[in-house]
Amino acid sequence: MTRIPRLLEGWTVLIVDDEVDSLEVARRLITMAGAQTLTADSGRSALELLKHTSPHFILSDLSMPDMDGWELAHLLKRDRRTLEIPVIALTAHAMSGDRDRAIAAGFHNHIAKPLDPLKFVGQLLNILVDVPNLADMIINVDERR
Amino acid sequence: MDVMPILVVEDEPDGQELIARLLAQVNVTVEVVGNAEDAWTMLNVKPYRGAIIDLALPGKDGFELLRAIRADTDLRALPCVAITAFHTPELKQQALQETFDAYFAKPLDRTRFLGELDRIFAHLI
Repeated sequence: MTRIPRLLEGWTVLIVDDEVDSLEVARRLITMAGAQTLTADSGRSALELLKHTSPHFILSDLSMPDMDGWELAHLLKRDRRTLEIPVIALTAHAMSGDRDRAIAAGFHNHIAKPLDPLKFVGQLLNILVDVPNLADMIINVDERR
Repeated sequence: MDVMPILVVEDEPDGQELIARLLAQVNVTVEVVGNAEDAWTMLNVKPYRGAIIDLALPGKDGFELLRAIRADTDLRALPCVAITAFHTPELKQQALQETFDAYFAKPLDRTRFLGELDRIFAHLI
């Protein structure tokens, strides 16, 4: 029985979410798609991890104790080392205007929660294909298939 | 208490709706997928109380899905119930031999179906 296609083989992804169930669904899907995953339960923990690692992209919940996703995105965009890492917001409610607010705050895009396991990796690729460096990786995967 | 849903693997919209409606009557939440591949993805990312699997699915059939479940360390104990519109005594025997926990021919007998699910899923009702 095949699982979802391993379209993220060779990628490293940081997932930041304080809700264990939600983080676990995202982690399992991204792992099934072939990527290495790093996880953090707050913006502050994510910043600690980012001192030593440089993921291809970050998925971050918005509402978290300690340091929320908004502040995390803000700080990442102020740091030359992390400025270029795309950060995708995981929004709890698919409110109209969430996407615009998230992009204005420095997020590359957003995905609504709860995640749909059958669409999630496709949603990610659709979002990441307009990031030049990552688009090349996605195209290379398509060519390998 | 947060009760885990049951995964229904059924490609026919009428069948999906019927099972969802029957289980809603006893306050059981279901999640529905239309093929074995999607079922496999869902089973690998979220916990379920069990699965109700149509034997005749497009692509990989219900038996292939069951074999994958029984071969998986994390999933092998998942209660699985077979349903089919193509009942024969031989098919029933095969389903039970392949370790489905129960087998039902369509159209489903509501009382027997819910009664058996109650037993298999440890007090459904």
